[in-house]
Amino acid sequence: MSLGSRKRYERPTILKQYSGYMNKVGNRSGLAPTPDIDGVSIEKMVEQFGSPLFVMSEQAIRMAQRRAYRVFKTRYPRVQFAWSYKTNYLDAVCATFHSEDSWAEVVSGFEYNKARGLGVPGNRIIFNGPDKSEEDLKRAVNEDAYLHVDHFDELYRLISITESLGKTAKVAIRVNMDCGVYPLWDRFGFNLENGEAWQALKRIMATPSLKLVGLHTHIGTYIMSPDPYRVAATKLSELARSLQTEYGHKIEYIDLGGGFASKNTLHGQYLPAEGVVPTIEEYAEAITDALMQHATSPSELPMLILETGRALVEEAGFLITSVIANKRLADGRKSLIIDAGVNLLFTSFWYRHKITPVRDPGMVSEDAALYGPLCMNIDMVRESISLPPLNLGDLLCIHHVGAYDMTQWMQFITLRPNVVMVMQDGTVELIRKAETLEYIREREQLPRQLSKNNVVG
Amino acid sequence: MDKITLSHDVAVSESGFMFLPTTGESFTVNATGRCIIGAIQSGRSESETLKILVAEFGVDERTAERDLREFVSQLQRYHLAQTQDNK
Repeated sequence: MSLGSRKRYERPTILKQYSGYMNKVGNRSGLAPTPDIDGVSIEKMVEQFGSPLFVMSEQAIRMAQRRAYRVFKTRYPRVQFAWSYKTNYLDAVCATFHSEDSWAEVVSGFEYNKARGLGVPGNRIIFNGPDKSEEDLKRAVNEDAYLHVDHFDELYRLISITESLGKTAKVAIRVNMDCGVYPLWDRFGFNLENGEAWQALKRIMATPSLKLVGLHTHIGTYIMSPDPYRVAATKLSELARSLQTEYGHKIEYIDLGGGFASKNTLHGQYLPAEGVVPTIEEYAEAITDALMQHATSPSELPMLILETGRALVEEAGFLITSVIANKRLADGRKSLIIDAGVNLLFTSFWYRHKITPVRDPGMVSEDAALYGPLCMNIDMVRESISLPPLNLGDLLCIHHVGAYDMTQWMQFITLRPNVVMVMQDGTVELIRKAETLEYIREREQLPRQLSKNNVVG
Repeated sequence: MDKITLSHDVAVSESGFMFLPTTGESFTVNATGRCIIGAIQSGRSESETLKILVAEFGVDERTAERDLREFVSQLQRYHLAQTQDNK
C-alpha cells in the first residue's frame, strides 16, 4: 500500500451509547478546530516559540477597546477608559491600550511605575487601591496623578504629604454601596449608606491642599446584570449633587470602575456565558441613562471614566498547550495530561474554559478529564470536556485567557513560558521571554554555610 | 502476546456499531477501532493486528501498541472482549 492511500490515523475509540439520555441543550461539542490566530498558524508559532505558549492578539485588543468606546460614546458625550493594569500588565498589552487613548488605572506603586515607564504621564494615571506607600503618594502628587483614596488612614497621610510638599493633590474617593450585588464589596473605599463617604468628602473639602475631582466606585467583578451599574451611577450622581448643593463644588468625573462579565463560563453556570451575560451595550445603557437623568444640561455632565479590564482583554488571549499523555482513570474515564497547568491558568479555578483542538479533530469525541503537568492534585484544567482522540504532541487552544492569567500566574514546579503577540501586520513578536533556571536562581542566595562544598562534603 | 477474542454474543455492524444483546448496551467505534475489531473477528493475533494498523494508517508501531492496549482494555471493561495470556 502506498503512503498516499493510507487512511488518517485517529486513536482507536469506543463510545458507549446512552440512548435514554436527552440532549435538550443541543449544544455543539465545540470541536471546530482553531488552526490559526488572526491568520497566523498556531503550529508554526509553537515550532518557533515552544509549548506551552501564550498568544495575545493586537487586533482583538484594539477591536474590543474601539467597540466599547463607540458603545459608550454614542450614548454619553464625555467618556474616558483607563486600562486596568492588574488585568494584564505586560508592557505590550498596556501600550496597545494606551495607543487607543486609554489612561492607566493602577493599584500599586509597582503598577504606577510600570505605567510611568511606558511613558504614561501622571495626569493620565488613576491610582486606586488600599496600599499606597508614602513614597508612592509623594510621586503621584508630584506628577499630578489622580489619587483615589481608599480609607481614612490614607486620607490623613495624604493631607500630611501635600502640606509638607506644599502641593495640591487631585483626589477622588472610592465609594462602596449597596447596589443589589451580594456579598457587598465593602472592604474597599468609604461606605455610602452609613455616612462614611460623606464624612470623607467633608474632610477633603476642608483641606486646601486636596482638590476633590471625582467620585469612584467598583461594585464587584463579573456582574451578570446591568442593573447594579444603574444603581451605582444613580447613587454617585446623587452624591455629586449633594456636593454641589452643600459646597457649590462640581466634580470633574464619575468613575464606575470595571466588573463587566465576559464570555468565559463560570463553573456554576449551566448555559454558556455567551447566552446569559449582558452585552456591553446593556451595561452602557444602564450607566449612561442614570447619569443623564441627573444632569440639568449636557454641559453639567461629569466625565465618565471606565476601568474595564476583563471584558476588553480576555478574548484577546490564548494559551496553546500540547498533549503529553493519554490515560484511563480507574473507572475507565478518559483523561489527558497537557503541558499547561493551573500555575499558568489561574482562571481555571473559576472558569470552564473553551478548549479546541488545533487540527481538524475528526468525527468522534469523548468526555475526558484534562489535567495539567504539575504533580499536585489541584492541577485540573477541566473536570470534564468533550475532546477528540488526541495523540502525544497534539495541540490544544485554550481560549479567552487574556485577563488575569498573565498577572496571577506563578512560577511553580515549572517555568512560565513565552508570551507572543500576533501583530496587526501579521508578524509575531515575543513580548515576554520564557523563564529560565538562571532567571529564578538569580534572585536566590545560598548561605555560605550551605555552599555546595559544605553540603556535598 | 495476548490473544484477543470478542465476546461470543456481541453483534458488530460494518459501520462500527456494536450491540450486546444480553445487556442491551450499544457502542460505536471509530475507523481505527473498526479496523481492530475486524482483525480480532478474523482471528488475528495482537502482533498481527499491530502490523495491520501500521500498514493501514502509517502509524508507528509504538504508538499503535500503546493505543491498541488501551482500546482492548476498554473492550474488556465493557465485557466485549477477553484476552488470553500467551506466555
